[in-house]
Amino acid sequence: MSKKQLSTQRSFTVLILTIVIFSLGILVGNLITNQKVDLLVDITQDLQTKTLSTEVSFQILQENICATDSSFILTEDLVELAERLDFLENELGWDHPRIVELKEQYFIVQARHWLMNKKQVEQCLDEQNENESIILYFYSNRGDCPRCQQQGTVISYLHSRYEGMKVYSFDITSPTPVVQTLIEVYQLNRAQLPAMIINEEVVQGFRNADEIITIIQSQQDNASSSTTESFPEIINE
Amino acid sequence: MIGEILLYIAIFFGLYTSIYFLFTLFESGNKVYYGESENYPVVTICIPCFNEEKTVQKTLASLIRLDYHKDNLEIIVVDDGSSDKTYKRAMQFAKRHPQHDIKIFQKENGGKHTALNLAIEKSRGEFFGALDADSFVDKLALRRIMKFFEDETVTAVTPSMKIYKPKGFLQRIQSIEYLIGIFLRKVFAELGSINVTPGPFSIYRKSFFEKHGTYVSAHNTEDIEMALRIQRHHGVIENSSNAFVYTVGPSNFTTLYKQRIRWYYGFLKNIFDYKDLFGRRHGNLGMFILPSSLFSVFLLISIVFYQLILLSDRWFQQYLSFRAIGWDFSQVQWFNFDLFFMNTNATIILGLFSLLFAIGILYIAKEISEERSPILLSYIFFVAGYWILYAYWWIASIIRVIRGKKVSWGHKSENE
Repeated sequence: MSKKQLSTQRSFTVLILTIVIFSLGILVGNLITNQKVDLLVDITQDLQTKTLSTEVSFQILQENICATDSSFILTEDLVELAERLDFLENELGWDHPRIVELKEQYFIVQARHWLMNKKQVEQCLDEQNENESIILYFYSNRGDCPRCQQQGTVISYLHSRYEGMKVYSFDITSPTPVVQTLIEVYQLNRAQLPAMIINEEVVQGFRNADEIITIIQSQQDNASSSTTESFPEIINE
Repeated sequence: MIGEILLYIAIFFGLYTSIYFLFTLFESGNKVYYGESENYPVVTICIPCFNEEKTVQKTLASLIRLDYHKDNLEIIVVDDGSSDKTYKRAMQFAKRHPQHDIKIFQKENGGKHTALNLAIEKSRGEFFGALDADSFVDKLALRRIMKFFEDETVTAVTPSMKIYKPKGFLQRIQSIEYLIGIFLRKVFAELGSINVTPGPFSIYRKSFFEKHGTYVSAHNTEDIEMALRIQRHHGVIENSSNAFVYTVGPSNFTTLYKQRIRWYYGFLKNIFDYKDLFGRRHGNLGMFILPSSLFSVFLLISIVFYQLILLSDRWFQQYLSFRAIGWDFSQVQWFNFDLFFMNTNATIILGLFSLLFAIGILYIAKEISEERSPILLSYIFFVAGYWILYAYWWIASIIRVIRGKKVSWGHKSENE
């Protein structure tokens, strides 16, 4: 056979080899990603256990809830889980079944934390939580919220910059009953995203870092004109 | 979504062609070198010159150093209407080396192909080739090339082109490109599908010109046209992997841009002129090499577009985010060294597989081309920057083809 002639046998062999290598690449990629998802499942389960344990501690200490060690609040664990979940969501897509499932669990854990945290802040305002502030942040990753990415950066920035700021983020499109209940209770408008509940005050639309701090400061001024200490306190300054 | 599908298609296509080429090379028994010819048929080498007073003597010196019988090596210098002292310098050289058969002709400027045609007309050799004035040859190159002509069916033989002492970013990426070119030309020869006989030192059996005509303008890429013409007439083009020809690569963006636009524009126009080469009748060339060349250009341009849109959107979002936090970078985490945050999706893993194949091909190319200097830094430059430049040149060339804007020849020394 002249070397100019197309070799069907060679073409076919190479095609089989390519399919094998290509499939192997997809398989390895999926295996590593599944490992990561499994790791997140472990972290979520661990958080669920810790949350339950904290809830029980709260019940035991009903009469002295303010004495509960605030480290029980597990904020750092939640932040770590959020970062990892966010990364995997970008890698796999918001509609990946395991991501959807993990996010539901994450929102439930967050909501339970929020309730505990809120209770502690309300009941122990005069003792240790005067600098506490809680933001519930609602976003959407489905392309209908062009400024959600920026709002996410602002929220992360404020959380790491200011001590005592607790942030809980929820995907507004999640069908999880917890998220739906929050939307109903606070009467959030899905057409005006991003949305935030800053210390029980509903804020719809994008706000930059300065605007959020101004809102919190005015809330504090209204709440307690006698308190001289201002919120929030800057970390690392 | 479309971008992701394109990426998967590109990776599959890249893997398929890489494996196909490696498979072809190994199937051929990995025979790369064919030794040197012991016969010395008469060969004519033409140096077409346009204002080459600075380089013509060096090129001539490189030719007379060839390990070949002096009497059977005819050198023809054609001064294509130079306005400098090219003719005088060539004459001086010929007078200093009377033992060599050096002929010098002067004519009105008419373009490279007219200079080559004059040399063919005046030549006495059974074989004919050209050498540009900014290129020079390895001592054994001609004997290695002539070894292939011992097979009577061979119409043309191409050399292996290398960049001479690459310096700087641009010449370094060209040196890698030329190394890969050496590998590809070897594989294409094994597939009977060489579609370019490079201007510098490709040697032709002169009887082909007598039967099928001499050089034509061919959109300023007569080397592509000649290869396609040989293929159309079912001639055989071989490649001598260790017949080295050195050329000085363009060292600035403008010169390199002009060169590439001329090449790619010429390729597209010639491919259109020779569209009959597509299809089963021309085997590997018509069914695989030419279609895949065009398909790879389409994929490259689409992916570069897609990536640029993605990147610009990401950078714009980043800009807006930084503005929203008042440009306070104290809390920004630029890198996360946790392995979890390494992107490991299927396209990345497949991309790594493709990179391994590319490194394998480069290693083989390095071996074939007997390249001894370290190439790691050049390869990093190549991987980092070449694909963007490549896409840019192709887009510019396609626009010129669509607008029907001709590519100028420019100063000859800038073009090869």
